[in-house]
Amino acid sequence: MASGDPIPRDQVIYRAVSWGRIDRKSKKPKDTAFLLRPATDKFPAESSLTFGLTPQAALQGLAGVTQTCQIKVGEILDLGHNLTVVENTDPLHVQVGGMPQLENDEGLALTIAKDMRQIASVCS
Amino acid sequence: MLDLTVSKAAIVLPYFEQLYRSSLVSYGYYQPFLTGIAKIGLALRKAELEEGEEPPSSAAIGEVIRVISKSANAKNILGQCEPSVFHGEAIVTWRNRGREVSVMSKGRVDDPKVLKYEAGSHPPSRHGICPRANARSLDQALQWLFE
Repeated sequence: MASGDPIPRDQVIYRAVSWGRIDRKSKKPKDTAFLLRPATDKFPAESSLTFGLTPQAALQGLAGVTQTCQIKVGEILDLGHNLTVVENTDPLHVQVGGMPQLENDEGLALTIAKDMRQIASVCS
Repeated sequence: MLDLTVSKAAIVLPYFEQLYRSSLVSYGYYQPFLTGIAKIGLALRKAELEEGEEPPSSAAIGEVIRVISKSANAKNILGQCEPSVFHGEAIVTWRNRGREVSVMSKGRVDDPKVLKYEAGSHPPSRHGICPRANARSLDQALQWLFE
């Protein structure tokens, strides 16, 4: 596979989730774990969500983040929002794209985030 | 005659106000003594942020709290909500089966907003958003949540 190639439907992918994005009661990720980050002083705005092909790849380079959740690629594609799941330039990472920034379309951005939260399960 | 009740209150209240706002007192220590509304406000103010993430402004939190505190339906289910923050946005969500209602604000002109979300058995899910929301909008949305 090469950068930009679609990921097979049966592949499980992993997203790093910081403590602030986990509900303390249910221990599940919050909707906010699946929203695109706007531009900040330190980082540019995200145009897609980054996942790893393994939990270790998802956590790579993220200081202080230890939790991951997992989703099957086919379940993301079946959400019906025309999302794409493609390989990153780094073969251990995957980009999930097609969702708007919260600033641009709050309703759709939060709806897709809620859909993704429902199909995600926390890795032990 | 000196009114002791008033004078004691005058002495004690500023102390509690200071204690309430103090970051030296941990969230866990005084959290059980707060009302439901205050707990939501505190959870939004003290939410853990990611690197470089701006916290929600006092205005954003205040707008969300104002709508919730004036909604009769919301006041009955304060303990069931999930407060969260995202890059300056304050969000409070209630869930019931496949339906969700979120009140959110970043302090924009058309905030606060109420989002109604329904996960369908056949995707895609559906949503509706109400800008410049008030207590009535939230009451109606929460009524829909439990229909």
